[in-house]
Amino acid sequence: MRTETSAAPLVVFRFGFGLIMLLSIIRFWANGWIEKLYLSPDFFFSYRYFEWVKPLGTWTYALFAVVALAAACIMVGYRYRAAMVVFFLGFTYIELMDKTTYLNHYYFISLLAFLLIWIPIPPGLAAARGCRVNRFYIHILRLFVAVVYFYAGLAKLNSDWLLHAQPLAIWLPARYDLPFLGDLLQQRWVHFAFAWGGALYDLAIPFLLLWRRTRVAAFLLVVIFHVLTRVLFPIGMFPYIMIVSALIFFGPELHERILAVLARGRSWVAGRRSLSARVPVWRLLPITGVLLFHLLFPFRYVLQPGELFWTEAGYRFSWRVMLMEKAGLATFRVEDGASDRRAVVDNREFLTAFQEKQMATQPDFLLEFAQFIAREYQNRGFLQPQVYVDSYVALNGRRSQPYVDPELDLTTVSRNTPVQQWLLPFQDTIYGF
Amino acid sequence: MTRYLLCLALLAVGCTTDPTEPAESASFDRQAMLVHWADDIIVPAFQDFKRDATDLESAARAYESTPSDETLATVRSAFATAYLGWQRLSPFMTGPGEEHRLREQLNIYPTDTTRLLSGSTGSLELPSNVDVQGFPALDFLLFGTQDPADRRAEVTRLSARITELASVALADWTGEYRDAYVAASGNSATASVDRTVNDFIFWYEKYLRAGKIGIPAGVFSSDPRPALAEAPYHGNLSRALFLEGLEAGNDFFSTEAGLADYLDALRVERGGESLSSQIRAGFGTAADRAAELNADIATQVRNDPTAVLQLYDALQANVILLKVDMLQALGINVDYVDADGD
Repeated sequence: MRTETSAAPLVVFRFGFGLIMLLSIIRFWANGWIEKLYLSPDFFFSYRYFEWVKPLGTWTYALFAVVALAAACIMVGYRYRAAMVVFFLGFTYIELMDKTTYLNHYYFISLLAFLLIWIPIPPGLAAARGCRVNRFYIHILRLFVAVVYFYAGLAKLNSDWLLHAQPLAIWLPARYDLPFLGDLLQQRWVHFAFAWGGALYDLAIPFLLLWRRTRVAAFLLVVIFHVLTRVLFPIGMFPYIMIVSALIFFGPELHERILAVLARGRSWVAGRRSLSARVPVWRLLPITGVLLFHLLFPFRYVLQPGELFWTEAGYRFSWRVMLMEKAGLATFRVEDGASDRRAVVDNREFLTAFQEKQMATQPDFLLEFAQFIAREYQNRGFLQPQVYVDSYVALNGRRSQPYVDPELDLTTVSRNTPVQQWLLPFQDTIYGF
Repeated sequence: MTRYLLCLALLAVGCTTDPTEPAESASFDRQAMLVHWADDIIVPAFQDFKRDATDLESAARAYESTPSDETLATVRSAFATAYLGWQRLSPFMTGPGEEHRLREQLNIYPTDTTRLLSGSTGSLELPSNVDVQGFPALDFLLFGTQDPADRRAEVTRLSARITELASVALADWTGEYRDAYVAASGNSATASVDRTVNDFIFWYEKYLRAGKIGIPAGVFSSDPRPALAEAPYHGNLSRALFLEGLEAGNDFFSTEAGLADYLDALRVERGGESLSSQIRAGFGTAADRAAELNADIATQVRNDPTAVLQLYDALQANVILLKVDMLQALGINVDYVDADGD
């Protein structure tokens, strides 16, 4: 078997990745979200070990500009590897600034960007024509994308999704105002059709894309599926990212043709260089590392007791997409152990509506905010602030139930305390992955 | 291609026979709900309020020209009527009510008695003057001063301001706003259903639950704060004001083609019982607990705050059902948050 193949699929992938990322940054900026999400809030929720990552004030705009510039360089293939390193660091920094904005597809981009650092892609567009690479790199990207779909499909194999069509049965009827679809979305069978169809799609699509005979049909299905999700849900650029990513499954002929269109005109990125057919160890090691992490990290939840949807211990970074409709309400009480002072906290004094909404349903947010409240009230003259929270959460259409133990002083709980020690147990069972 | 679509369709058909699930939910006409809210609830509340405010203003003018025990009694009674009418309106500050800052200019309490007595408050439109006007200021002038006749010009000025605000907001509603409101029947943070329900819950939580009951009962502070109750100078009105607001809330939720019907059309059940009847029962419990209180909340707080705290708990139980369970079931966008999700 020949190990060398046309580099065109990688070049097209690089171009598509850079283009979509550039558009994403422009869209984010144009929507005023930099200001709204990173400049106006007073408090930001941090990821563990990344507490030092905070927005940079007005310099945050510069950070976005640098990331946009890196995306543009990636798109045209100018200093690809340096640009990818800058993009990875900048984009990841942005995502770490506030946990509130966590999205699976941002994580997808960070992880993919890190992987792409180690994959050799010839520079430029016109200059890249005729270049050849080891097909190993193309297989790696296919595997990377396939795992995302397949894991997202596995995560749907649970009783809420399959037997109750939740949370779709909540989300779909709310889109009553869509032309043509609106009435259909009220029908119970439609919720089930979407739930089962979605699970089947996620599980099957990697194989349908891999198999040459079904590839074109599978790609059409990718487009239909993602356009439909774009219409139904506010998921931003994610559909376009996935559509472009799916192109990697096509053979070099298609990519040669795409490249021929893209590369019309003069090549202004210099130097077509031949890429080694061998995969050097310094590339192989990090690539293997990323893939192992990609395959194993989503399963860390099995090490945690309790219902995953309830505790969310191991929920993020696992390709669990659109599985939960969680609504909550959290009212914090502060009492002074050294006097009879007490107060009820107005969350909105410190948080935006979006942050408050995210905080109310996620244990790590509740804890982080409780500890912030303790510090804040210490500054306000409480000598020994004790923080309690009355919280309720409704999950996937179940009746709301108390969430955090209301009798527990949250200043006595640390990030290392197992969550089931301070969260009340979930009063139901969800079966499956 | 067709093969896969067919597969999906077959699968879809194959899994619709789960016996534990309701057959299918009927379509609910949200536009009809908006029409009901606008035409049967909000606009009539504005009309009644404008009428009551006009009555208050003319009573105040009569009192100003000929102060007597009789004219004073008329102003006082017109004041109570208009204040009760305001409670019917307060949940519906979506649109014109918010635009003309009705709640801010009509019912910010406690009122600043020092400035009211000093008599130089200036333009009532100033944001710094929200606590020297509206019903709380009239409550003080009419019931809390030695001789209300000394302040009768101010009573007229404040009453006229109430009429003016009621009129402009009503004019907006009966003008272009009503049709635009009904037409915005979509599903987004800026659509009418979402805005009305968010404003309603905001009112329930902040003004009905906290303002009238929780704050004076001392829920948010170290001690009870009876001085922060509504209408503290009248001395016999605050429970009636609360009950009027609670009933306005219940009517908005329960009357036909409203939120209760919407929940029922979606067959929303929680713990084996329909959510709508649980919320209705919550309104009932709160009304029962309030009925046992002194007619003056401040007096009740001074004598026995526990009963007020129990009322607070009953109100809080419905906050959870409205804000968490109902909003989730209806897929209502909680706030003007506009960002990606997955």
